[in-house]
Amino acid sequence: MRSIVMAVVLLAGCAAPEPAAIRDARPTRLQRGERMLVEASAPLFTVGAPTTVTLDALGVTLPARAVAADRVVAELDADTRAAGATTVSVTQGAQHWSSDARTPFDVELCAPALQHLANGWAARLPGPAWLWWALALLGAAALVAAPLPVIAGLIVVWERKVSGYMGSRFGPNRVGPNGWLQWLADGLKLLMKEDIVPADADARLFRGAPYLAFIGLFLTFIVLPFSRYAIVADLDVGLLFLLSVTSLVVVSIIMGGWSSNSKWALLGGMRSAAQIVSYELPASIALLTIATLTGSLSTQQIVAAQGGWPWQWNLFRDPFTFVAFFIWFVSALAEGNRTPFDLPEAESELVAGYNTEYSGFRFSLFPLVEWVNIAVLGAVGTLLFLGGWRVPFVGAATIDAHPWLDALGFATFVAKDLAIVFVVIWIRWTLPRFRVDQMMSLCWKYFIPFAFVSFVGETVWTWLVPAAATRIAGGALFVVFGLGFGGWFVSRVRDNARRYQDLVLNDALGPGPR
Amino acid sequence: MGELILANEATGEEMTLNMGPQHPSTHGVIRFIIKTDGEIMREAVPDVGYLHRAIEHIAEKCTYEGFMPYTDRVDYVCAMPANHAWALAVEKLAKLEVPERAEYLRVITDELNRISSHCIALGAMAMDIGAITPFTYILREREYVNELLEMICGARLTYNYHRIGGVGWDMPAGWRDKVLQWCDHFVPVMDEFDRLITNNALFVRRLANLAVIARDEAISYGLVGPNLRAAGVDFDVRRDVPYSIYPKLTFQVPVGRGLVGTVGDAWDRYWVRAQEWRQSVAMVRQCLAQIDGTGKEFWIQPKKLKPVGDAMARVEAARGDMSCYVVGDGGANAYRARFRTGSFNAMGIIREKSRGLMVADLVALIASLDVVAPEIDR
Repeated sequence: MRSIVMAVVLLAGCAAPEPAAIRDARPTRLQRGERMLVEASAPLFTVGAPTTVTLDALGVTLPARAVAADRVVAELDADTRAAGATTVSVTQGAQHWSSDARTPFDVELCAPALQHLANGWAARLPGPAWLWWALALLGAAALVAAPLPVIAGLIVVWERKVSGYMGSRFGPNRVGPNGWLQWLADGLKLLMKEDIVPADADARLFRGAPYLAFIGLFLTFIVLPFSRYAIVADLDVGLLFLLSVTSLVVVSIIMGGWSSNSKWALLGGMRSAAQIVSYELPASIALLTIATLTGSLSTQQIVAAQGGWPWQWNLFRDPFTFVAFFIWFVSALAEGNRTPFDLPEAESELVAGYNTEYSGFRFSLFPLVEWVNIAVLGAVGTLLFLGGWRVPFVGAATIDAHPWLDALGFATFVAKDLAIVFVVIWIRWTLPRFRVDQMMSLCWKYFIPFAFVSFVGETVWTWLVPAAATRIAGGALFVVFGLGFGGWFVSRVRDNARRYQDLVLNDALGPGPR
Repeated sequence: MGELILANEATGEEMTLNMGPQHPSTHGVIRFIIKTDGEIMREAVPDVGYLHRAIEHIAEKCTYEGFMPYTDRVDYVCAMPANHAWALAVEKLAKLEVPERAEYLRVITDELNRISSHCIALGAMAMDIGAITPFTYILREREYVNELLEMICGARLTYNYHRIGGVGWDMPAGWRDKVLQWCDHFVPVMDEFDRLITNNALFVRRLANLAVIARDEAISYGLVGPNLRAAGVDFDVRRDVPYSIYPKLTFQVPVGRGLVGTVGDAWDRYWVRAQEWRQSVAMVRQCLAQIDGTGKEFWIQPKKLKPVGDAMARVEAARGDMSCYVVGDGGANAYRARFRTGSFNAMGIIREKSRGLMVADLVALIASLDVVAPEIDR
C-alpha cells in the first residue's frame, strides 16, 4: 500500500529524494544543562574539528564537538534564558548544515526549577537522588491538586444552579454568597457522618476503593498544561499517562461495587466495567489521531502545535480531527459516567449503583472524583482540540519575555475548560439515559469503526495533503461548522431560552387563599 | 416467596434481586422479586400489600359522609375521582339528586386532577428513563393545578371536596378566570414538553416496542384506562358508561396508534396520557363555559342517610375505570364497600411482560403502567 502511495506521490513530483540532513538524535525535549545530540543522516562531520551548534530561533550558539562522522554533541548552556521550538545549525569551519524545520528541536525552561530544587536537596540531604526527585514532583503535584476539592465543589454548585434553572426551580442559594459555599456545607456534613462498612463486605477492598479512584484522578493533574508554566511535569508520554491513570478509576468502581457485597452495587460495577472498557477504545483512538498529527504524546507539544485563533485549533484542522473531537467527547462522557451514559449509578434503576453501600467520607470521594473528572475531561478536550492555553498574538517567546502574560494563557485555558464543563452539565440535564445494550452497540458498531476511519484518514491526510491545503480546509471547516452551524445552534438556544421564559407563569395565578 | 428465592439461588446461574419496597423507582412501597441473569430479567414478580390500610373496612366503620376523606387516600395522586366514585355510588344507593352546578364543579375538579396526575405519571416516567429535567419542569404545572384546587377546596393533595349530594364549596370569586388563564398557559407547555421529551430520540428508542401489550392481552388482564386504550381498545367510561355531565361535553378518546413502534408499547401508554392532557383541558374549558347557566345551588345535603340495597358506580380516574360498590343495610354506615382500581390489575401484567426485558426496562414498564402504591393496596 505504502509503495503504491509513494509511487503516486513520486509520479506527481511532490516528493524529491531526501538530501542529507541533520536532526535531533533524541526525540525528547531538552532542558538547561543537558547535553544535546545532533545526528546527521550521512557522515558529514570531521571528527575533532572545532564545531559550534546554533539554536536558530533562540539566537544561542553553543560550543560542540563532533564525536563521530555523523554525531555532534553540545552542552546546553545553563544560562540559556529562551525556550521553544527551533531549528539547529551545525557549523564546522566554512561548512554549515541546518536541520529540517518540520522536526524542530525543543528547549524547555519550566521543569528545571524543580530540578534545581531536587538536586539541591539531594546534594545536602542523605538518601538516593531519585527519592528527592520523587518528593519534589509529588510536592508540585500536591500544589496543583490541592484545589481539587474546591474545583469539584464549585462545579457541583454550578451544576445544581444550571439544573435548577433548567428545571424551573432555584439551585442552592442559602449557604454563602448566593449559595456558592453549599459544597462546603455538604462536604462537612459528609465528613461528620458515620463510616459504615457493611457486615458482609470485603472490608479491605471496600475501604480502599474510594482512594484508588481519587489517586487515579489526582495523577492526571500532573500532565495537564494549564498554561505555559503551570504544568507539573510535561512528560513525553503525557497522553499515554493520562489514559492509564484514569483507568484506575474503573478499577476503583469495580472494586467498590464488588466488595460491597450488594447486588445493586455489583450490577453498577459490572455495568461500569463493560462501559468504560468499551469506551476507552474510541476515546484512545481519537486521542491517537491528535498524537499522530502532532507527532508527540507530550501535552505541551500538542498545545504548541496549535494556534490561538479558532481556525488554528485541532478541532477545525481537517475533517478527520473534527470527527475525532466528537467521538472523543461522547466517549469521554461515557467514561466519566455522565448522562446519557450514567448507567453505573443509574439512580432510577440501581438505587445508587456502585456506591450504594458507601457513607460518610468514603462516599464523598466518589462524587468528588466524578465532578473533578468533568473538569479533567474539559481540560483534555481543551488541550487536544481547542488550542489549550494559546492566546492570539501571544506566542511562547512573548510569554517568556513577559511572564505575566502566562496568566492570560491560564485564564484562556480555564475559560475553555469551563465551556466544555458547561456543555457536559447541559447534556446531563437534557437527555435521558441509554439502555445498556444500546450503549454497547453505539460503541462497538459506530464509534470504534468511525474512530478507526478518522485515525487512518488523519494519518493519510498528514502524509499526503500539503500544509497550505490543510490551512484552507481548516478555514473552510471553521466557517461552515464554527461560524455557520455554531451560529445557527446558538441562535436556536437563545430562541428556546426566550420561549422558555414566556412559559413561566410567574405568580400570574395571584395570591392563593393561604 | 421464600421458595422462589431459594430455587433461583440454588442453580447459581441466576441472581435474585429484591427491588423495593424502598426503591426510588417503584413509585411507592411496592416490592418486586427479580430473577436476573446479569442485566437480563427472567422474571419480575410483584409483591403487593405494603401499603394496605384497610380502607374498605374503614368504610364499614364510619358514616357515609364520614368516609369521604378516606377516599382521598385510595389514590392520593388523583383523589378527586375517588371522591366522585364514592359520592356517585352512595347517591345511587340512596337515590339522591345532585345540583347541576355541583356536577360541573365535580367534572372540572376531576379533570384538573387528572391533568396533575398525568403530570406526575409522565414526569416520573421521564425520570425513570434518566431525564430529570422534564420531571421538575412538569411538576411546576402540577403546582399550578394544586394551587387552583387549593383555592376551591383548601387542600392540595387529599381534597375531600365532593360531598354526598353535591360538592363542599362553590368556586371562589375570580377562580374561573384563573383556571382559564392557566389553560391558555398550559397548551404551549404541552407542546414544549413534547419537544423536550416525548419526541426525544433517546426516549423514543428506549420506549418504542418495549413491553408491548396486545389488545386481547389487555382485555384478559383487565387493564383499564390509559393502559387499555394504549393497547388499541377504544373504551372510556366517561363516554361509554356516561355519568355526571360528560354526555354534554365534546371530547375525543385518544387510543394508542403505535406511532413510533407497535400499538400497545410503552411509548403508546405515555402518548395516550399526553393526549389526555389536551382533552382534559378542552373539557375544563367547556365546563367553565357552560357552568353559568346552572343555578346557585351546589349541595343538597341529605337529611337522613340510611339507605338499603346495593349500588355500583364507575368513574374514569387517571388510572382508569375506578368502580365503587357499596351495600347499605339501613344503618348510618355502609354494610360493605369495595373499590376496584386500575393499578392493581396493571400490577398483574408485570410478571408476564417482564420476561426477557432488561433491568433498566423494568422501571420503564412500571412507570408506563403508571401504578400508584396506595391504589394497588388500598
